Amino acid sequence: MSSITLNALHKSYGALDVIRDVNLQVDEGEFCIFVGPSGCGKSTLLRMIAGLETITSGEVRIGGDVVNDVAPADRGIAMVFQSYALYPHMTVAQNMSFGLRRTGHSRQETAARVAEAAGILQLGALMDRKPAHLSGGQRQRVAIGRAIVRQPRAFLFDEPLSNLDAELRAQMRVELGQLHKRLGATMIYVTHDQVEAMTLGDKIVVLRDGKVEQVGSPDQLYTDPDNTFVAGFIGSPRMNLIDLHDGTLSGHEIAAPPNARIIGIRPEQFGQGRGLEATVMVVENLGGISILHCALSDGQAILVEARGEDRPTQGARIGLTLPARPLFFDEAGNRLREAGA
Amino acid sequence: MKRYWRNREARGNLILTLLMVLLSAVFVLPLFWTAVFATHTLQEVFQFPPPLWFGDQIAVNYSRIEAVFPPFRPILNSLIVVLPKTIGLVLVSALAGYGLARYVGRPGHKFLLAMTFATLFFPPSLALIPFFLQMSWLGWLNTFWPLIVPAMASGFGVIWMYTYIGSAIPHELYEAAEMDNSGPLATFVFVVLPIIRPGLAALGVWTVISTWNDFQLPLVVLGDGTKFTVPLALTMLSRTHFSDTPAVMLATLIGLVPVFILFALLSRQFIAGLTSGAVK
Repeated sequence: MSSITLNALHKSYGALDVIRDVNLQVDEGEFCIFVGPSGCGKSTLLRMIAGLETITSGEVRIGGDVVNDVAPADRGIAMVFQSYALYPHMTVAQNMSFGLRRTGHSRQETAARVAEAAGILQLGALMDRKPAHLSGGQRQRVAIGRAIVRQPRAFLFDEPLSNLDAELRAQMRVELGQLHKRLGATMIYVTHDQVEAMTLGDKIVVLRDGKVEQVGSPDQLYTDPDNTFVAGFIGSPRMNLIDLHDGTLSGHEIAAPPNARIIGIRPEQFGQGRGLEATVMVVENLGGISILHCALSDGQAILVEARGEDRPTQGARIGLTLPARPLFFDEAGNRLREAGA
Repeated sequence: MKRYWRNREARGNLILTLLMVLLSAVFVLPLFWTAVFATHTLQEVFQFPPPLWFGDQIAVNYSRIEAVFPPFRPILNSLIVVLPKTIGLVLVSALAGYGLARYVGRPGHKFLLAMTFATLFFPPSLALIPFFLQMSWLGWLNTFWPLIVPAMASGFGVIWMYTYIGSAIPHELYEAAEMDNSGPLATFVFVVLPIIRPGLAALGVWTVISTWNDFQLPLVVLGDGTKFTVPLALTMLSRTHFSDTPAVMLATLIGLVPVFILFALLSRQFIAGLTSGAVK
């Protein structure tokens, strides 16, 4: 397994910059997630690492070697595509062994590697089937198996679960996490689903408009975001980003830094009691919790998480207490940290 | 029956089926009559009403064709032209179509595609004289080469395969093959060709039929009667025996047999190739 380093990576199509000055270190054996909204450049960045997109400037290093001009197959990495990209006319076994046969591996070694990967992914009974006769989850496993047999220096995943239904996606998420632990492999995983990002990653890279907004562990990004974009993107339901007016929150005095313009409070951080007043507009009952869509007295919308048996109903007026240490952001959306924090 | 007739959908299906049967009859009846006439004497054919069922004169009619123009030589000539041309045309079209479908956006792609399309806008007859001169310069007149080699580069075939490959093969498959260390040609042979088999079969059948029926080009290129293909031989026969309808009908029938056999063998793939884009 190898580390992957991106130095000042840049990609443009004519005048359009799609990746802008990306610097990143993915350590050996790390599970790194690229997350961001559609069009943020996360798939392009992955494809640049794979060698499927040219690099305008900067460098990609795999295991310390600069690979900018190395062909995809010679970079020693394997990629799992969003559409699985299985060869429809080949059986599962042929799909998994095709790459090894193309690289001149012996029959015996190919068979041994395919059998080992099939064992890991429980594909043994499906080896003679063609992709058309497999379920979505099985196809996904074959695509992963095709990557495993190559014994790559790193795995790249391009939104591999986005074609699966919710239940299967949750199951495959767990399996991928287990696979990472078992193989101890360096993995880079692209997704727009922040639940996948939070549950799978050792490290999350949040991208917007081709730029890295923040890199950190899931906990770090959740509790200590650098700006309103990361604060709003990570976490479901999303963080409340409420405008402050002259140091007050909807008429409620709070101890905010002088240049604070936005306060960030997660829905589960509100307590019930005397304080901020809000009216419940809509209640989403998710079973264990309810998400209350509320309006503050100045009209701003917020989300509040309610638990327990006595949950407010639609139209109720409720009092909310604020967390002890809310997050503050300046006018540009950058985080205002306390000195020494 | 009354209930069946009241069902709107069933009624529609019945009417549609009857219309299809009538339409089929329009195409099948001339063929049937050709077969019927081939088995009667000339007198019987010109009687009124004409014969509607098979007679017993097929051997006599065949002996007259055999004396003037043995039919197996033209069939062999047609096969000599059709087989290499079809194989070459299908392979060249698939390879060119693959290049155009895979390398979209590369320099020159639009120009090459536009040029290929442009060849479809000119009637082939327009190029007949330059073509004849060119073949004469190459020393290929009165040989089969002019009917085989230039015909392998077919604008229609390339466009057909370009659209077929474009719709049948997602771009990620090329990238997966690239990650699997498969070069462009290896990807064509091991990945693209097996997937586009129905498209190849459809183009192949179309090429066989159109080449088998081709008249103008063989007429211009082939001077020697021993090299005549089936349509030329039939014309020759009808010219020399223009009043011998049963003999001409029988020769026509014999000339159709190889095409029928081929179509019967490949019809499933042919239909799959024609409809694959529609059902995806």
